[in-house]
Amino acid sequence: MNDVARRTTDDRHLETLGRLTRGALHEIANPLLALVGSAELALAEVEPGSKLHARLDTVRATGLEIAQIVRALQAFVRKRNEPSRPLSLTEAAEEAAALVGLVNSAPDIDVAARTEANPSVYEPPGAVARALVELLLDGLATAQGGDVVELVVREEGLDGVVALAGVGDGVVALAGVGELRLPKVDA
Amino acid sequence: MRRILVVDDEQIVRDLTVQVLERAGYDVLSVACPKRALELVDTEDVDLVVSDVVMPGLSGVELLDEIRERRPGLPVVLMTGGSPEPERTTRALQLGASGIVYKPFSHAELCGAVEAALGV
Repeated sequence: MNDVARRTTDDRHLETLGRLTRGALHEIANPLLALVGSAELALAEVEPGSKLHARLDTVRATGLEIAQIVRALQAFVRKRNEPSRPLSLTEAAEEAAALVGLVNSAPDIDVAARTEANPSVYEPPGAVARALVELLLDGLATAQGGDVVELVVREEGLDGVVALAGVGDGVVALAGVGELRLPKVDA
Repeated sequence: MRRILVVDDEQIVRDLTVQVLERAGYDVLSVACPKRALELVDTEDVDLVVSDVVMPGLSGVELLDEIRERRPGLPVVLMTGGSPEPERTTRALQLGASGIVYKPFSHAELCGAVEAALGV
């Protein structure tokens, strides 16, 4: 299989994976709601300080952690067909960092967003979110334990820029490698 | 006491929603079938409808559309799993949904949306 054919197959595979994920997120929502909601109801009926109360609280807290991931992914998916509108690059970078931070499987690598300016752009929210998430995932692929992978938001002339940067041994090479550059508009 | 009609074909979600709203002090009716919900909207004294979006037969958005024709001032809060149907959510807002809560929601989020829709 040549490179072009392999890339096409990979693209289709990712598209299928995206559709499956959208369905899975929807199907997870009801059972998760039942789990967390039932635990929350039961907690009110159990004596505080008891072992049962503590176990129910663990169920509720764990469910809420999963719910947070599901909701962040749902919010990412909902953006995909939104038309262009004025966007704060700072907010977009913070949302991307929060999402990637939630699904980051390397707990010793931090994901963050840092703001040096707050430029507004007029772009499709889904495309901006996707580009920023991809920047962070590229950064995570290079990072090592103890590193911080971050998006830095700044202004350069007529552009708003979100650049991949980081702190630590593995991410030194990231500076200046990946960035999203978009024309600014008035906020 | 305010009366709320809950519409959801998933029994576990319906029962949970009813319990949360009853605990919050509301009188709650519930049905699995959206067409049955329309009958109750016509015949019962209901102050608010809380409905799922994805249901067989009639979606929550179509239900909202029907309710707008029958009782234009009746507030409707929609509950959605969110991701597969962003277009439906947009349509619901265009039709004047009083609120949308995304599953999995907390009790506080549901009650907050209900209170806002009722103007409490």
